[in-house]
Amino acid sequence: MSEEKKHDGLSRRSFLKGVGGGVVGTAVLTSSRRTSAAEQYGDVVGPDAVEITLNVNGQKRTLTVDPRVTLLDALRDQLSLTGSKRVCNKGQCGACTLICNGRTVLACSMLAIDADGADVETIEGLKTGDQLHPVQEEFIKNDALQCGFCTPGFIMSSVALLRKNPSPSMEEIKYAVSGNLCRCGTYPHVFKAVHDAAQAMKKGG
Amino acid sequence: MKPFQYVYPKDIKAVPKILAEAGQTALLYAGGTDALARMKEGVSQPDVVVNLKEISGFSLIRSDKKGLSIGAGTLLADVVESEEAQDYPGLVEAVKAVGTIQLRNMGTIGGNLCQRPRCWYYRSARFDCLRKGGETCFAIYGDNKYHCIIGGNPCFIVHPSDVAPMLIALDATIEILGLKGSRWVKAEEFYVTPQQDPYNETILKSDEVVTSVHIPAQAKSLKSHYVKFRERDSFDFAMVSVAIVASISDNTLSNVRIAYGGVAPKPWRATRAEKALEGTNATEQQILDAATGEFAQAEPLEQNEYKVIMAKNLLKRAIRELRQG
Ligand code: SF4
Ligand code: FES
Ligand code: FES
Repeated sequence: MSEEKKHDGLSRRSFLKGVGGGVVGTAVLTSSRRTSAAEQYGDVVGPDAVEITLNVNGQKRTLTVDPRVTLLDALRDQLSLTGSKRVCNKGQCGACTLICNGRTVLACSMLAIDADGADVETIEGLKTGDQLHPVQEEFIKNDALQCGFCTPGFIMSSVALLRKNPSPSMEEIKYAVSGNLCRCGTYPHVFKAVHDAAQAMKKGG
Repeated sequence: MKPFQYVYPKDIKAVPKILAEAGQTALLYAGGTDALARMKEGVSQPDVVVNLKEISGFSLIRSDKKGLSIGAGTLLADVVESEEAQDYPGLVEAVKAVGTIQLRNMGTIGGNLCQRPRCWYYRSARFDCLRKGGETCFAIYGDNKYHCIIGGNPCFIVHPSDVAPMLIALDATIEILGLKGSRWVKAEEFYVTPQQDPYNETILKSDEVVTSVHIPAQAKSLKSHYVKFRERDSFDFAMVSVAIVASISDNTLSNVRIAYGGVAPKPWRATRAEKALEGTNATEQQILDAATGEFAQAEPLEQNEYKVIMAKNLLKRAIRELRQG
């Protein structure tokens, strides 16, 4: 029996526009060598800034980014969404964890242009009105943070877990946040907070 | 970071053409988790970054009676979660051992196979080491705790992939596309030692791209298992890892295939150990003897002799768990 499964890429490009001059012109201007193969066999953007659209916490946001800019820096520096933290900036700590198209990713290790057209959820989008998300509530109640730098990342990993698995075991909770580091060593409180959030969310219906 | 052009190839066939023209100035970019880190550090300074992520057909998992095919652009997370892959437990274990949940949601199979070494001298733009075209290997007299114990010289990296040793143990083949068309190579032959080529870890030529991986269907009696020892258990690169495939009947091991991660500049097929264990009951002593034979040629550096001991013990653990599993 043969079964075929296709997985969608991380993002579907809505449109990518070179800003300030046509794409071809850009290539000729900034590169000493001709890049005709790239243009002939593909679409080319950069090195000039590119216009992208992100669906951030349910809101369409259009911004202009240098292709070198990470999703994390675009959110923090251009959209003033500083909840996602920039700690190691090289994919080794989890502080920049956010949810992109339903999956947790490291925003520091991803180009903003690769998120064009994507649904991006950050810690800022978790609350409903003035009501914090149950995971946030339980982090506070359980004293699951000290300096707080790792906290948004831990919370995003935990929220992603509870969406998939509303009643995780302690092992599953530990595994779900195993890609997040906490220098202050709040781990036991984090595990308890996620456990309590699961209970609270079940009660809350 | 140096400015670059970002190219979205029309289809996979366009990639070799783009690479052939851009040459050394091009960089293949899929999940980007490794490539972007190198670009930030200035270790890789491409003018042209080729985005492979959105090429259709590049991400797919398919199984039939011949085996399992995985497109190179398939996310590691998709492999872990796919129904098709569950017939290859060792593969799922190895893929799950890579990075973190977040990194597996971003990284691809092809990227994992083609990731560059973790040697800290290599990763730092301040060290113009041999692998980057300089004259010196700084690891020889420097900090070499995580470097190789066998097959090194003139460069002493270890290959960081968890997936590659398992693919070798499963006798997988890798599909490569270049200007002249497609070719298939055994996973084992995909990697090179620094003697063969000190600048590259694989046989990929500058116009080539990995397009898929194929794992032959395993006989029912075959079991597979991946064991990874890391300094920090939540996530880390392997200090030493063992991928093993074998069938066990009446306590006797046969069709044994073993590949190590973390010990050599390429995933290390342990043919001597395989031969020593084939047809035996693999008692603790026999395993120890087999691993001792395998690493008789080991030449540990100043800080990594522990890896020789670890490599022996990890083989014991791998076989014990293979039996139980
Ligand atoms: S081990 Fe290889 S990569 Fe590391 S410093 Fe030596 S030559 Fe460079
Ligand atoms: S800031 Fe992204 S992983 Fe550390
Ligand atoms: S609370 Fe300080 S790093 Fe986690």
